[in-house]
Amino acid sequence: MSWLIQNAHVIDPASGLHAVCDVRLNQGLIAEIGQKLERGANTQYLDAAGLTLAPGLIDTRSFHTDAPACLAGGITSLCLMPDQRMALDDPALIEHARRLGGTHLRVFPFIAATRGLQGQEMAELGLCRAAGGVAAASGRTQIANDLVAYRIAQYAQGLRLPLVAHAEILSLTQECVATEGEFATRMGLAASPVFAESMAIARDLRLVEATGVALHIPQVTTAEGLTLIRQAGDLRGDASAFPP
Amino acid sequence: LQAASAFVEALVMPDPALPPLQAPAAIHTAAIHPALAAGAPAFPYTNLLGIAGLKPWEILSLLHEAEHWVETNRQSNKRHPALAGLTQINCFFENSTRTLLSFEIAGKRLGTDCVNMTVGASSIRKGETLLDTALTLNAMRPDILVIRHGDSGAVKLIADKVACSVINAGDGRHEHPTQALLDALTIKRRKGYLEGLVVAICGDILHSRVARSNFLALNALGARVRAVAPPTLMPADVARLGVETYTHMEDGLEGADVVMMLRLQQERMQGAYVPSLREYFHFYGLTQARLKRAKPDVLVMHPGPMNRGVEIDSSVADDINKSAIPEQVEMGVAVRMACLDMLTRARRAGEHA
Repeated sequence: MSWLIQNAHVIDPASGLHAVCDVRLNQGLIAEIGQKLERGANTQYLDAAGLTLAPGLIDTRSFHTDAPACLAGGITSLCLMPDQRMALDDPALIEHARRLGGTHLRVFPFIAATRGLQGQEMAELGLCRAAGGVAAASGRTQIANDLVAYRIAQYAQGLRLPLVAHAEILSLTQECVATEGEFATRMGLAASPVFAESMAIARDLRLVEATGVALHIPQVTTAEGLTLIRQAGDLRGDASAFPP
Repeated sequence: LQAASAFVEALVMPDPALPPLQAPAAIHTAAIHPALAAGAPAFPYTNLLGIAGLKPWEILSLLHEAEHWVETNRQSNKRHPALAGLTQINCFFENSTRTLLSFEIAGKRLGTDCVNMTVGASSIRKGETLLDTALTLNAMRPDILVIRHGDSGAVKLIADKVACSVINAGDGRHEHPTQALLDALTIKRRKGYLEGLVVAICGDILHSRVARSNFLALNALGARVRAVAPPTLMPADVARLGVETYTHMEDGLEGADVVMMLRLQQERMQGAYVPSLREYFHFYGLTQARLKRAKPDVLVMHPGPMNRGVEIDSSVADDINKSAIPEQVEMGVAVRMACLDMLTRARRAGEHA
């Protein structure tokens, strides 16, 4: 069975293609991309004029696995944050989370780095990884205890498991809704200092240097934080942030 | 987890920034130091505070003496009162059953007046400082103090203040020399030799004085020593102690002649070094399946007390073809008799002269 998708706005970052053209599929695989492709025998057609055709998007930081919503938005894979009704700190919960996407949405669960995301005791990272977890994440809060964070970094690196860290010092950001500055002052918003983020990033980058663990910081909101991450390019491990 | 082997290799690679490792000198167990031929004492010390500083031939002379006591301990009359009249105090500031008993039996078989002072009965509870306790004990004119203490270095501190022989029965996470000696003796008797044997020491290296003493003793005797532990239980720069490090149990067991398991010392742990006992057993527990990576005639050892189902599976611990665990306990008494004898020999000879 072949498919011919016609007149789609094709976006393929890998090859740099960004044009209106046709795409032929054989047995579910892309066989040909080009203008005005021949209609063959035994082929189904789809007129995609006005629609975008692109590789499935990957949501690297999702809190829900709503498959219809994801697919409607072009998302075919997502990384599920561990902050679920029950924190994803157990192999059985990881196993369950992997299946939440159904047939078309692939779910890659992040393991709760600490039990119940409480920031105190390391979760069973090895068993959770074996169950399909792809990274150890601190969830919506930072692991405030430096010793716990250090041991998790060591242990995760032994398993070759990346860390996903929330970079915000809780005691500095409680009740705050903005970063300190003229805007927050003018609007009368409770604000936290810039270093509430940059100090947290600096600590985690130091852990990368000490242990070699791969680190991803999914949320960066200050220029100072971004600068630190850029400077960390020389470190032994990997550090990344979104947006890059 | 395959990817972790690359990480392990990276760990084993020496850091170019550090000075080169002090390679253990090639030693033949048959080699005896030239000084011995001239009639010098084989073990010229009055204290045994650690394996550090001992020469290979000195370790071997202790093992040689211990071999002799193994034989006498197997006879019905085990009493050889060479040390009759000497006072031995076993001063244990940390809970112990087997080591204390082993030292007590060793002393009694040699005829010492052997008394135990355990922490529950001591004045430490009443606020006395360690040095005051040491001076009090010293004033009772003992000939031998056998000391165990929870702090690294505490035994040396006491030894500097007293006039008698001091044996370190374990200080913090520093050294436990008689354990390393009894382990070496067990291996030597089962394998016949030590040079070139691959010995994998696995588990809680970080908190283990047994591991540190064994690194020193086995290296001195020419074995190839491996440290196998999760990254959180592997002390920093442990490779500089002359061991190969592995964070993967399977890789660490590959081709091993001897596997020495360590107890997961939960009582010394502040916070979690490993997530759970079931995860620890899953990745680091010694099972028959994992043991297949080692040589077919592998010897399994454990200093005790064992946590079955945590660091060692019962079927391995009870495997009479592989396990030397009960034998280690037997060697313990013999090694401790040898130490008590050798450390007091010069003093006894001096009085008789």
